[in-house]
Amino acid sequence: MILAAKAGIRVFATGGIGGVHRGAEISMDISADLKELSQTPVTVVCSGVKSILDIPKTLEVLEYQGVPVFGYQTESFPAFFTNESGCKSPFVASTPLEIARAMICQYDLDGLNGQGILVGVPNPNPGDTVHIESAIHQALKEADLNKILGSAVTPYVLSRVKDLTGGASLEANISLVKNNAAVAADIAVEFAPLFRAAQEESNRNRKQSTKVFQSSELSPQIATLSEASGSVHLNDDSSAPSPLSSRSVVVFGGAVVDQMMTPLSSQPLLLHTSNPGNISYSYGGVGRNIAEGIAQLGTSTPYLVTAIGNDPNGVNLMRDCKSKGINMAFATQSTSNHSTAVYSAVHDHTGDLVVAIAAMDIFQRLLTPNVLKAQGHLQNILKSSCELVVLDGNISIELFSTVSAFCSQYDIPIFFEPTSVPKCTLPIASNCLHHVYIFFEYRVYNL
Amino acid sequence: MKPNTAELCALMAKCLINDKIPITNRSHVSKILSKYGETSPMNSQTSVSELVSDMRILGSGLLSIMNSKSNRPAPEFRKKSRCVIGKHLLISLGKYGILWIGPSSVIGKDADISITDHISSKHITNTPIENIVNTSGAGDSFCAGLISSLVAADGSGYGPNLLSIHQGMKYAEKSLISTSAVPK
Repeated sequence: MILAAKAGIRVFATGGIGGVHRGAEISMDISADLKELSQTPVTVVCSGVKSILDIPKTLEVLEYQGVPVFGYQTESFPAFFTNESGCKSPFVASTPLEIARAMICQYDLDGLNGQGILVGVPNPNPGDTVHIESAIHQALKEADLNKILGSAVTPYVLSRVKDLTGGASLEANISLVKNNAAVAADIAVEFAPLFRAAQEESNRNRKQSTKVFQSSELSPQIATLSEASGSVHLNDDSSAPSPLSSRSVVVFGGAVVDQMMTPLSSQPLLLHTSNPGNISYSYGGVGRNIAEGIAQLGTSTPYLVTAIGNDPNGVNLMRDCKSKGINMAFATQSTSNHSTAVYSAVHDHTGDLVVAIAAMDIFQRLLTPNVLKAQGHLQNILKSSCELVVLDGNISIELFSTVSAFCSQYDIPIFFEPTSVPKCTLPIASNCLHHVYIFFEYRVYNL
Repeated sequence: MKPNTAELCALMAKCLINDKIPITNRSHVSKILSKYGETSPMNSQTSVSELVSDMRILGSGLLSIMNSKSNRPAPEFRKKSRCVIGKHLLISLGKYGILWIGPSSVIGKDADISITDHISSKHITNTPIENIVNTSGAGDSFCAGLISSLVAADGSGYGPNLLSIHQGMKYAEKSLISTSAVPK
């Protein structure tokens, strides 16, 4: 349990746990499992304790230790080889979600203890049960006769029972462990998203209370950056842990607000005047689109290093990217009057492009070498978890050069997407073509 | 032929001619340049196979430049923690599929044609899609699909490989039938 907790594993499946031995009032023989359950936040899914133990005393000790015990879809306390121990489970849970919610409550209350989940033995054959029970009693008698004591009792009894039942007890053991693992998996599946949300919530709460100190520490740095480049780097709460995956892909590229204008009528557009129609907005930009797709597919965490303006478009773009799972920790926001990039296009009623204006100046101005040089944390991500870097044609030649040199030094492959035909020469102009590992060209349309 | 296609071919050809690295088929490239360049009218009779074959020539020239200045001992060298072996050129031909030009050691027996000792090429066609809604974002979706597959490949294959290209194409297909650029 300790190792599971250290590894961040919250649900643990096993056959049975240890408990309080018969005659414990004399021998003080109590399993360390019960203590561990009170101080380690791991949920243990098991089929109770072996019937050779003193089950009522076990329940008392668990209650004394403050460990919640749930019977999973059963009211009785299973006893490993049988479902009827004669004792009842203190609480009952009928779905994995209920158990997951209880675990979240405990996390919210900063509880240190674990939970015990009791899963009944699958398909118990009454005949077998009686057979096994009598084998257990016989084995206990033999243990007594042979003066077997303390921690040697359990292995002796188990081995004797296996012999006496001709291996049936071992088969039963294996099948119940598999069943417990299935239940534990169901619980873990329900727990994971709730836990992630709870963690983010508590991170946010913590950040708010320390915000004052952080901003005063950072402000001299921000002031320097503003003077130099008219922009500030946003090391905000999206750089906090809990990424989708331990692998990451860093995308240096454009994030654009796309504005599509289409006429209502199917008549030809009238020039030099207003035509009634629809204007719709969506988020685009090659770099941003690729990052969104990577976030959707979930095999790695995308970081988008882009530039946005200090305007409503920028705010919305930022929010949208984060909601889609794109990590915006290293995005740069303009502190002067650069607007967020916008692509405004007029289409005719058939969907063909009539004319468009691309206002992408911000990328040439702000996606400069400073974006990499001034962000040490970004450099660390690149050196450690980053599997691949994506560059699109929106970045400046100088940044292309800087990133290429960095990636070459740290053995990170570069994927280049030119964005437009003229930009195909970007790696050549910056003399970095040999640093590009995958050159993707999608400008060849249907013939 | 759409302007972008001709423009792209002309641009690639120009780069190759201008670069000081010697390429094996310089005369071929010059011919292509005159076919697609500004001085001659765009030939609307160009067939897919002709375009593919021209692209193979231009692409392999580009790739040999990408390989030649490499400071790695061989293009195939790769540290195990990163997901790509060698240098690759992927050209999307829209509905005519993907043209992949890369190291022979990676493309292996799947290659259509070996262009040089080290460079092979494969043309991967896609199944035609009936109900295309919106082509914008298809290329970006392909990239996302390909990259996601590469990164997930736990050491069993350093790509691009056929699997990751197919994953990219699948994701691009989803984008084509969706109104948004990136499929949900």
